[in-house]
Amino acid sequence: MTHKAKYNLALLIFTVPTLLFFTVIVIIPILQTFQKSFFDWDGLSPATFIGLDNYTRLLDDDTFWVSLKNGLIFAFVLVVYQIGIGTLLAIALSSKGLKAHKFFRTSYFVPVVLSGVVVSQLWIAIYNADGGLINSVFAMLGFNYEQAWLSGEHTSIWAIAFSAAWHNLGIQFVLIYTAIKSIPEHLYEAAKIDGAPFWKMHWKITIPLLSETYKFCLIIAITGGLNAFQNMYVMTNGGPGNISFTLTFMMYKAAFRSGEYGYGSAAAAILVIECLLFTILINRFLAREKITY
Amino acid sequence: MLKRLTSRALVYGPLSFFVLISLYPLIWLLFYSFKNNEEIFSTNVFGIPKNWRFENYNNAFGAFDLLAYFKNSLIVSIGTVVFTCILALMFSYAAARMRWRFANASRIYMTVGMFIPMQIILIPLLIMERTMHLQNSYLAVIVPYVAFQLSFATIIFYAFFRSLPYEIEESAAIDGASVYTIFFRIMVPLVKPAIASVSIFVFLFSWNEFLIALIMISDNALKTLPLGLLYFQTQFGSDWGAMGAVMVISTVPTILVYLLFSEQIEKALSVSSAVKG
Amino acid sequence: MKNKMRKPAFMLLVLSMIVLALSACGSNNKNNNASSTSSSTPSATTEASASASTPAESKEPAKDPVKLKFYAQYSGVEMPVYDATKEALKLVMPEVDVEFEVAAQDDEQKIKTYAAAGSLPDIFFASSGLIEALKKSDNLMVMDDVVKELNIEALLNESSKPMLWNKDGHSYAVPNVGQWAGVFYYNKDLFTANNIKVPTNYTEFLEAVKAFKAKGIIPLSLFGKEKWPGVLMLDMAIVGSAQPEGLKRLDNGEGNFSEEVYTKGANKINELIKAGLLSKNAFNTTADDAAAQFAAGKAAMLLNGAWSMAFQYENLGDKLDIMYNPLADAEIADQVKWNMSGGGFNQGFAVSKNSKNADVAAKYAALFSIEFAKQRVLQLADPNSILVEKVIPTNGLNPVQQKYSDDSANFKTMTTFAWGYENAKFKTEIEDITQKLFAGQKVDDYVSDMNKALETARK
Repeated sequence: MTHKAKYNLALLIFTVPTLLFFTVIVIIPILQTFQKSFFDWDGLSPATFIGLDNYTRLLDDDTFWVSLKNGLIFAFVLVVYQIGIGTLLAIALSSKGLKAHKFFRTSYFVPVVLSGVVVSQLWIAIYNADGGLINSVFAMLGFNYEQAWLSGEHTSIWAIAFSAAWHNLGIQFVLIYTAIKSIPEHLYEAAKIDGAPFWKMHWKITIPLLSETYKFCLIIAITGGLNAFQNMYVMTNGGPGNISFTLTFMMYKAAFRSGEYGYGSAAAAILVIECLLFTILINRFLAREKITY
Repeated sequence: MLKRLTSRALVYGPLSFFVLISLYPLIWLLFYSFKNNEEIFSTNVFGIPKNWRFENYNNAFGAFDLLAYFKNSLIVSIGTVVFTCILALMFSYAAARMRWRFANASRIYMTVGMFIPMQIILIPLLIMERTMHLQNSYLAVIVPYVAFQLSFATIIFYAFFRSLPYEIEESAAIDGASVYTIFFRIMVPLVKPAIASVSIFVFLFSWNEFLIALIMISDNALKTLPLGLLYFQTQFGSDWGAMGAVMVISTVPTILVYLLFSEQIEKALSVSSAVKG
Repeated sequence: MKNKMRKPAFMLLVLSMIVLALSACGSNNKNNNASSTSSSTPSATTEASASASTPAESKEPAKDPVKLKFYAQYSGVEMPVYDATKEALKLVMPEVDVEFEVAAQDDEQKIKTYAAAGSLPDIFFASSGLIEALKKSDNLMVMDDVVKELNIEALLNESSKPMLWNKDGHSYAVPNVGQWAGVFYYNKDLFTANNIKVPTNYTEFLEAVKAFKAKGIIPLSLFGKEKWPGVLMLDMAIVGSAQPEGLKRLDNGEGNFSEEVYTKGANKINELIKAGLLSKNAFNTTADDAAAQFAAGKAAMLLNGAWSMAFQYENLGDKLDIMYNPLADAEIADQVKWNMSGGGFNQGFAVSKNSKNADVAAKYAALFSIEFAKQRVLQLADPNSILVEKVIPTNGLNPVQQKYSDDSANFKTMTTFAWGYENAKFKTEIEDITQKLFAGQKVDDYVSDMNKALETARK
């Protein structure tokens, strides 16, 4: 075999099993979902083709717009909290002078190991409008700012998103921390000799070098936010009414509660397209140059 | 002196605050597992149990075969981690370091798994598993877990492979090493920190996953720990204390796994940054 | 160099083989477990199965042994009821061995997915909504022959006979539990201590709500995270204005929300909400959470189905009492006194049409239902037996159950709980939109939202 042929064979061995497996288990069902979105189908009986009817119905459905907006809010909260706080904590812990950094590092990851159900239970108690933790603290401090955090029209989705952001902060923290730790020490030496302040040094050197990391952190946070489901399923069950719906929740309701599988598929199709759009945008505008140290 | 003290407080203060809010849930869960419904919901939500109800743990062990479920969870999670890492490493390496036309397109293609909530593909997935006769083995859940975690794993491995200098491969190729040698002997060891991180996340995901496990497993002998909670729920009420006990038991291995792997990350990191330096 | 690269590759190979081998074990385990014949106690699972897998076959029974998969709410307090029923049926149909699979509280997601994939378990618990959905898609075994052959109808008491037949004239599931009404539980002590009259009509109810609110006690503990309790309360308000069919009438395709009696019902709810009926946290409250509040004396009343009597009595003891419909209009309160909300349990253990042993399964399911109803009375003291046979609860009835049992002879009509609605779209929408009403939505908006939803649902 020539060198070229060997190289191509290796390429096939490396890529084909993964691509094939992924296509069969993930892509084909997604394509079937797209197909079903053009049908009136209850999930059980034979389906009837109805063209774009499901999509026009979506545009007219108040719940769809609420869900779309909630997904964006959810993604926004995840990005700001997880990537923002995650970066700050990671930089602080990667500095050499810090004592007990191992203890800090381990602690920050602890919420991640708990299951979503446990975490949601805890936050339900924290947000409880009758004597929950937050309201009690406000009362203690003498503020008159008691809220039904999880059922208020303007607080619900933010409250749920925050609990999710808190839960998985550790994932983004570990990813960013690992990336910072792989930056070679010598890159900082010049800055240290110049006596640049700690945070300025990181702003100028660390953050730009993390752009490849931020790319996937952003994709994880944004797609995670857009198709959030379990948090509201456990905490509010989408309610009251539809105020804490997301597109996934809408799809769940249509497909499994009201027997409108085709309609739910249309909501899911929009969700996939939305996520794809964000991923392409992130790939296009972040880190177009390859980084090596 | 005073300045140093205040700057220390500024660093350690927030760091410690985050430790507090990160560790408290664990303690809360532990207390929870010793309470009854009334304390959990109404009279003593956040505090120490008034009397320690060890019977919750008795109930947890009595209602279903906890050890068998535990074993199943372990097999499923380890299987998922192994297969995900192998497939994702090979693919990401090819996408990040080898020259071919569709490298970039296929990479984005692989992220699609993160776009779709699993709810929507339950029916096609179940039909597929029936045709492939996966339903009576652990593969019933391992297969979808791996498929969906591939997206997450490939984007992380891809980024790590990309950040390695090209000179490493070039000099190895001059020495006459094959693609496989370069991959297994040189590149994979260099991304060990990423492998460790991905392993933790994938393990946690498969350990805690509920929905796919609920739908795909109907054989009692194959059920995983999260499904054990069903034995304490009825249409009109649940035994939350006993569920807390199950959750405490199921949290222990996840913490052990994290401690184990995070040690690996730290060690591997110091090696890899030496190579790059 | 070549040798060196083999090691990690080899390791990976070995690891994956181990996992494959372990995965394969699953199928072996399964056979062991499924053939377990003696699981009289819930904990006797795998250990017992190995030793107990042979005897049944070695006795060479007249009929071939049949294994059935049984998907039901095999959890919590009902677990011993299922186990006892299974034991009792061994005498009648010794050739049958069932394996229970515990059902999840998942909006029937699992069972619907199984139906769609064509792999329903042999026997499964089906609500009226599920029966409608599966009937339409031809997944259900028609039980008519079995019902006649076993003369099931003769075993059921008069009020339970209609539950055997679907409105299309066929039988898809034999009833396994009696009809429950929705009731208000209340804490007698809180009413006396605060000198508040126990309401008998809507006007008094509103007064009581205001009085409790003023004292800082939550008037009603409603578990609004589940969506049916709100619908139940609205239904009570409507039934109390002399529309004994309640919301069920809309589900059946008659009328709409602009009719006076429905608008009036929505108005009552709106007025009560404004008066401070609920805790701020009502929409994040689960049934257990609500029961805990009620038990701790933080709430004066609790809305739930009558099935909860045993549990509430355990918590409150003699402080507990029940009222049926305090939301009735004052001038007709006496007249509508015995028009109940709730009921609608057209449900039971159904059989998959595609089961390999459909005939055996149908017979087993029918007999199981009757025995199950009996065991429920014995063990859980259900005061609403569906059977002709007089069954005495092992531990007797508590005073509240006794009261319900005596009164139930007077019940004139029942509606249905939300899960009994047959139009799935109507059910989903009324559950979601009514939550808004309880969150303080204006009545006009609620009525127009509901009318729009009715239109979509009836398409």
